[in-house]
Amino acid sequence: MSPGYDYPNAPNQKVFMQRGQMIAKFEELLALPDRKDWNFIDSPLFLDFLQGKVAMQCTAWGNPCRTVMGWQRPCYLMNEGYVPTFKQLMEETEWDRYGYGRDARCTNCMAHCGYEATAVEATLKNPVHGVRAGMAALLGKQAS
Amino acid sequence: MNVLFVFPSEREASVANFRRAPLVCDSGTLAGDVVAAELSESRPDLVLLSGFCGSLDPSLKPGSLILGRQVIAPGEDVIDPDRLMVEEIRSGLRASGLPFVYSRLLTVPAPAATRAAKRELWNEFGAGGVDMETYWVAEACRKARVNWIAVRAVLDTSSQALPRSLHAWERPGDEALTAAGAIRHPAEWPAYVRLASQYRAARRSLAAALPHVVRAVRDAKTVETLELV
Repeated sequence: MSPGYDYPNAPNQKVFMQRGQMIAKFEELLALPDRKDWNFIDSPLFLDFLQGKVAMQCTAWGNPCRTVMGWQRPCYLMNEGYVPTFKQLMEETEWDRYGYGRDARCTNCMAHCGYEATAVEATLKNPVHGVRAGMAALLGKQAS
Repeated sequence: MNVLFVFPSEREASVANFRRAPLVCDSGTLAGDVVAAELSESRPDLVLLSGFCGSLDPSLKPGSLILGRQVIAPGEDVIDPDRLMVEEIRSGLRASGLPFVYSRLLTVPAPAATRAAKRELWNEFGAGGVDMETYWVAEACRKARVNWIAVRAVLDTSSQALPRSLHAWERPGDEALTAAGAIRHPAEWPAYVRLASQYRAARRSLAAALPHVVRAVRDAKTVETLELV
């Protein structure tokens, strides 16, 4: 589950939500009574992020995109060209230039490809988040 | 190039030695007034605002550098620095090897003191750093038609609540009052010890970055000097 990305080239720009609208929508959705019956493969921390409960920065390199043209930089939603090797992608891309607050194209992006990677990294660093994610995986439900 | 260095406090201005004494602008809207008064008397080519800030971006640590991509304040329009100049400085900082981010700055009237407040500001404004001066200084520069840039070093992180005695802090002159409040509340002392350590990191970062920023400004190709191809 992930909110959509507002592709600037999409012919109908009215279908995209702003960041505040996304947070409000996920808060509403995940507060529904049926919520306990829904199983998500997302990490609990990513779901918290979608509801605005946790602040996160994008990990643009978290889900690298490889195509027939090469490795796409910086992520699969934005295209600033291709490099032939993964090493070049990682070492020659100015990663600090991308993310919420840093690039206008990232303003309304809360997509899993960047933020789920951040959530996974935070989960691995924090035992509480780790236990919560483990329980969610074992029980098939997201601990709230 | 004639550069006016501006810092919110004497303490921040002391991170480096300057040939010409930097301007200390204080906090809040007063910072804009101080800079506007200075710009009415002198005509620098660039105002370089520097100092510490709080972080809203969860990926930033104490001492992380933020080069202002733009600045915003609640209820106000975004102000952009000169693109050409900021790109030159970005290139200069990148060549120096110093880690930094190129992000938006947010100016608020009171310290963003709690984790919840910082998270709300992050979600709403998407600013890497939060301070109490940049917007008002940028606005004074815009009105005077003078270029500005802002370079900030992170003092407190987004996951960190400030000690309660700091919540009412409004300007550098409040330090004595804040210290008195801190002395009366020993429970806050560990938080102050942590902040003191972070202050040293922020100061080191700023001291390391400013010479590179100055060099980049000095070498900058302004519109007037760009050669036509």
